[in-house]
Amino acid sequence: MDMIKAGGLGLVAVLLALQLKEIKSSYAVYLILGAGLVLSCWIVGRMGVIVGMLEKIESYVPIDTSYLAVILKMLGITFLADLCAALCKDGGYGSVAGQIQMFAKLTILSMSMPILLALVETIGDLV
Amino acid sequence: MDMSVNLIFRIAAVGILVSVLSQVLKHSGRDDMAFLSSLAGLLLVLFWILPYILDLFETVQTMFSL
Repeated sequence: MDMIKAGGLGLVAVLLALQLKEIKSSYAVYLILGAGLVLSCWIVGRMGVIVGMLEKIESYVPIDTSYLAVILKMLGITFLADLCAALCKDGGYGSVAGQIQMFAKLTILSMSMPILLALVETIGDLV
Repeated sequence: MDMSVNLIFRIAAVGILVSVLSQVLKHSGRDDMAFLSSLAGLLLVLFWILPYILDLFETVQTMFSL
């Protein structure tokens, strides 16, 4: 049922935005921004369920909590970067979207460096 | 989050009304008023959307402990 609601909302927003695009294109972008926000609020709600489940699983399995935290951070960064970049691309400015994507990739890469270091060190100890 | 389709319809309504208003003002020779009316429409829509943007970013921040 929720899927029908989300799909319906997206379609209604796109059809209205098409109408608005001829009259005043700036309002089409605001409309799509509003629809994107509503949909991403629902997405965040669903992600909350998954994150809760992950934390529950993590309490059973004695793995290091820092790795799960880094993975969750990466998940959040990709979600936000994708939302903002897509909205910028809709607004017609692909360059800003590209820069947002580049910044997100570099942030994730910089976050994963310590884990890579830990891996290399463990390998070094084995040899 | 209680919001649903009505946010979309409100933005669409403001968009259509402002564009009609600015067309009328433009044809009656008051171009500056037309610009001001579209600016007012923009501010109104932003006032509606900003709390949702803030709320979304806070939720993501707390959930992923960014």
